Amino acid sequence: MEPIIRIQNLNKFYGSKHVLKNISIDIEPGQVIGYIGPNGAGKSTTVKILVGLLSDFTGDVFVKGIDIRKNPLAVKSLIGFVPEMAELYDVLTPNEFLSLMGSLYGLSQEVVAERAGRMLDAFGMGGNMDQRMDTFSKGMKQKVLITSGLLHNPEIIILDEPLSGLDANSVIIVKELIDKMAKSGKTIFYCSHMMDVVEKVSDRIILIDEGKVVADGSFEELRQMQDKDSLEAIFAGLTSTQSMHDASDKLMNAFD
Amino acid sequence: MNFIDKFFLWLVLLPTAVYRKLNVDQNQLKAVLTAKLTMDNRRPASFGNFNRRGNEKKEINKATLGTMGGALMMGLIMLFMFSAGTDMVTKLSLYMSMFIFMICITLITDFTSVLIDVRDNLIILPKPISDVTFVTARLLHITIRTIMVVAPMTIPGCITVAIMQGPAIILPFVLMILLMTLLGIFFINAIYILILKITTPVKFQSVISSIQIGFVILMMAAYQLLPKMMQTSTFANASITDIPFMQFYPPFWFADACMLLSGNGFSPESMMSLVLSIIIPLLSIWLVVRVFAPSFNRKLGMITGGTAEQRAPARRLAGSRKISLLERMAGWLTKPGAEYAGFIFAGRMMGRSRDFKMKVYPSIGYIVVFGFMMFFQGHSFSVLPGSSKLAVPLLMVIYISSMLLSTAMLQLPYTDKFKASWMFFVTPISKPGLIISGAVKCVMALFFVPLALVLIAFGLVLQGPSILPNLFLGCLNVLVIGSLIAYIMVKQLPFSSAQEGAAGGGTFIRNMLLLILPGGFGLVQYLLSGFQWVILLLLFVTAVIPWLVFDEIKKRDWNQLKE
Repeated sequence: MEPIIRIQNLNKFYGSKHVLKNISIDIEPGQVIGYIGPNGAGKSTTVKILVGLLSDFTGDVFVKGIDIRKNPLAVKSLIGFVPEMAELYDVLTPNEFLSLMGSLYGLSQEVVAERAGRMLDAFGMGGNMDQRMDTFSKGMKQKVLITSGLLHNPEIIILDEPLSGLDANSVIIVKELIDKMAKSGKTIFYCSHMMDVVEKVSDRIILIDEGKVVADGSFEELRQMQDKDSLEAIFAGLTSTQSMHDASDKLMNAFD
Repeated sequence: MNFIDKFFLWLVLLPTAVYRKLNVDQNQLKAVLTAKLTMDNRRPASFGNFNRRGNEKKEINKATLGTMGGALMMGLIMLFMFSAGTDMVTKLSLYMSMFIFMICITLITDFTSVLIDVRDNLIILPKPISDVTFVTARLLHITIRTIMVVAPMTIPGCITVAIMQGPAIILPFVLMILLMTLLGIFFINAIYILILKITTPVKFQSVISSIQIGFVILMMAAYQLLPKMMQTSTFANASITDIPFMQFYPPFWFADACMLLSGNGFSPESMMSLVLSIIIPLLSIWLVVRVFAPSFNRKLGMITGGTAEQRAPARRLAGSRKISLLERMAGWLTKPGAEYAGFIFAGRMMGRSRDFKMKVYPSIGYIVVFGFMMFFQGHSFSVLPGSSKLAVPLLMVIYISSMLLSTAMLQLPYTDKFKASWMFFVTPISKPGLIISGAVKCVMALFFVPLALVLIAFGLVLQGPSILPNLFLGCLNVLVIGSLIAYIMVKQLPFSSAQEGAAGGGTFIRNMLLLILPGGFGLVQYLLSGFQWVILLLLFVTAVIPWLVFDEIKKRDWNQLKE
């Protein structure tokens, strides 16, 4: 099968800082990719390149066979993006915000109104459709953001910490949603620091550190390879240069 | 921090005894000021510019220079005040009046974000810092920023008075300007504090912008009265000292004290002026810092703390979508898709975004006051043969309203929430120009069309249809001016960039410069207004131009956006 996302020899510099070092990944349709790594590893940079926010990289990125550099608009149409920081124009209401997003994706107002209403209803926010978001909690804003990323029924969904701020029930909804979307053939690119969730939802886990892919495989494969029980332990084993206990000791000793 | 900031920081930290007396923690004061001044010179990376990091410093310095240059221009314009009145005290009083007016306007339009920086609530207020220290830091910060505008603005006046009165006046003049600047700062600050005392913090944000508008209208009206009084023959040859109760008019104190200190004209009254001009600014410092500050900060802390006035969720009926006026207008004026979205988005944000309202709505005040002034003074205009009497004042209002248009357009790209603009960059938009075009059309539809309709109706009722060609041409010219300003200046997506720090302030001054464009158009129309057939011909030519300009704006590509 042709990969839906093909990243080849991807390199990215911020000034003289080399943040992505020759990354090559092929992703099959319908896969749920858990994309993990320590702070500053290059996760966000990869995501920004995939959604078309950054264009000054070297190497090739193809989405469904389309070169992102040659036709960024076609790629953007295929992707739904839920960003990490819940930055929203919060003086708008969910209704207004979603209809704006819909217009930008080229959907008709009727379709947007219908879909947005049903999706927010499912999140238990049907009654908040016409309230300004500046009074919303972080979780409510996150639900609107998730809705905005799925509105145009994209083939690829890129989620950057989608669960932050959500209450326990909503977390269950989103986890099941990811599962169902993958079963219906959508590709999910899931970035997170929450190892227990990544472990459960992902078919395949890609671990990057200092701009390089250091592990790539299913949770089972990684577990056997590293001989560790949890993803947290695997993560620590592959990325840390010092033991965590050492670090916490040093932190405590800083007061002396 | 550049050397100018460093110099000012050193300067304001000098009076250690005063700070000790006020119970100000000087280490904290220095820390807060250093951080604030450093931040003023940096602009957060927005979505457009995170690829480039190296050259941001250069850009800011240019912005600072631009502001200072604009202030210098204003200083030159203010010199005309010296042409009025019979004696030096009168001339100086008029000059000082205009000066304090400019300071207050600049403070309101440009520095409100500094006065009420809500980020302080989360970062500074939770720390063990006393209210006195915090308010002092805030006031000093604003003082430094203001002086950067005031210094260049003072230079032309300073040279002029030195020529008129000899070099002995320079020092008193500068001293009085400084004291007056302080008074202006505390005046604006005290007004904010009073508002916060009266209203609840939750309402404060919405109240403040309407108060600003009201205040600007008030100042504008007062300011308009002076030249009007100067026109009357009894006033032209009179001296300001003849006017009763002048002793209660602050600019008069400063003018009088300035003359006294330079060795001209000693009298008990001028001694009184000197005392007032020194005591009142200092007293107001004391009042703000010691009396108002504590409750101000506590209430300020609540602005972001207690917003959630949760309304009961209203159940929506499926399929009951009402089409608003905004959507209707967007349907008429834009093509579906990105341009439509840009129109709707800009319309909603302009009506709700606090930063936008604070920067733009006060300008509506100018138009209203100006409109009234024009109406009542209209008969005094010399009218060219063949043109109607009413046309000139109406056209003046129409042309002046282009200032509101340009203010709104220049403010269009800016918001605190600029990070939310990620949505424009991840969605498949072929030409960002479409969104900009939609937003600019919305600015015109909301900030000009209603006024134009009112004025046209007004002219029609009072003068009849003969006035229409001239009014239509005036309106079309404003649309031309607006679209040209948009084409030249609006090179960012709406609400997508962070406001350049306080150093970039100078919105008002820049707007004054933008008056030159409508002035030119207006003058040409004034000269041609008697020739009906020329006006009719121009009407057809002018109608085409905005559409051509909008076509160019729509074509704007991603790489043509300003980073």
